[in-house]
Amino acid sequence: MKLGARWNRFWFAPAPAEDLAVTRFVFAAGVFLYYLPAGLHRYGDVPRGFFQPSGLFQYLGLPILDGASLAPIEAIWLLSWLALALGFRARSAAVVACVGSLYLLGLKNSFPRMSFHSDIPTVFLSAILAGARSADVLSVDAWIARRCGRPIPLEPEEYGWPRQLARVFLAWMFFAAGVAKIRHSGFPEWILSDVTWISLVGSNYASMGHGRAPFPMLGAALVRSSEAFATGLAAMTQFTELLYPLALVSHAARWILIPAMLALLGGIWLTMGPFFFVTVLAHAFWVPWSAIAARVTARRAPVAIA
Amino acid sequence: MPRALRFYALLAVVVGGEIVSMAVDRSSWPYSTFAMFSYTAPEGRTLQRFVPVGVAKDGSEIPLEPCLRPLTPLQIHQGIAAALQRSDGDLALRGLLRETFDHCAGTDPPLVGVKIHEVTWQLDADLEPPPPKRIEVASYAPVSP
Repeated sequence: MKLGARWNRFWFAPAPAEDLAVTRFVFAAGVFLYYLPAGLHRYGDVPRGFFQPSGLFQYLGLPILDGASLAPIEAIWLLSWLALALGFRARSAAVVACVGSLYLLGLKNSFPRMSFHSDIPTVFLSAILAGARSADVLSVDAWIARRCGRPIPLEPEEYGWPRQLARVFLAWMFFAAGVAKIRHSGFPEWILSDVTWISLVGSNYASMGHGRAPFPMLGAALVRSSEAFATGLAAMTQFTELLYPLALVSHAARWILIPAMLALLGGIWLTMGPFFFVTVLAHAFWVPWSAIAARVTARRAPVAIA
Repeated sequence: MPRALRFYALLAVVVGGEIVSMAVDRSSWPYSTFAMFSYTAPEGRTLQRFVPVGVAKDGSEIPLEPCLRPLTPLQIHQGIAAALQRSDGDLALRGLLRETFDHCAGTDPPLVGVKIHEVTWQLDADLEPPPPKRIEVASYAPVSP
């Protein structure tokens, strides 16, 4: 197959509109529920001495509004995520969600610079949804169009690329994390170093992330069970990060690497504390929703008796 | 807008920006090198945190983390570390302490000053963690009129 044909097949393979629509719902509803209690507007009242402006604030000269002014902005931003989940004015909602994420989460990530990596997919995946036709089915927009007698024509080439682009972004994110470990510590020096041991044991002393681990003593217990545990976990982490892009091209790799990465992210949260919720949620872009629905429906269908 | 235009614009913004970020090894929101936990620990199996405390009239020390929310303890630590690393570190730290005092002075009990402790734990996988070493890094008390 020629390179151009391969490129087109990789990005623009026809896909069911339902897959993108369910992904939109799961991701946007999850983001809405996750940030609803976050109270991001309170960053407007934090002492400015802790502020270390990210590039967005530094170069564009964006103002830091006070908490009272940020509260309505945060409310509109959250409503845009809800509207996106429901598929109501979906693309406009996604634009507001993306711009709001850039500003509000950018503000949060300026105390100090770039401290919450899990916020990053919120910006890029909302940008992808802003450019996608994610509400052609299973949405308020589609329902209104049908009621008005103007049903939306479906084009299968429209529904695969946004999910594929999101998956490429996720793959890049993990690959970059693996490369950063090589760049800053060397290979296999990072694996053989004490970094993972410190993260596992340190959570018993102080918060290793922005929240306390649900089981802060578990890491120390695992390390006590075997000195090689931390090294093994470090090796698994770095190899899963570096090999994650293989999931884009191999079904077999997908079935190994994605559950392994989700298990790692879950394990990091349970033992160390850092909670990569939006990153986990972004894995909705991998799920073949319509194939799962077809399988469930087939199982539930009554069997004809001869 | 045509599909190809939407796709290639997003590809450039999302993936192109991330590639540039990795190539120049520089993070700038929302682009990142995702370098979390990628540095080895030169000090060995230790954990260090900067912790601000308020000083009450009777000299007792009060944790300031609740007053500084939504900042997390890690954000507070990173913010203090970033101020210390600046070329005008002493000045930056003094400004940070003054603002922290102004922000938290009205807490109960009222504060007469604020301090920053550097807390260092020698890590041990045993169940009973040994007590940490505490060093006072900086303090601030407003001059009485």
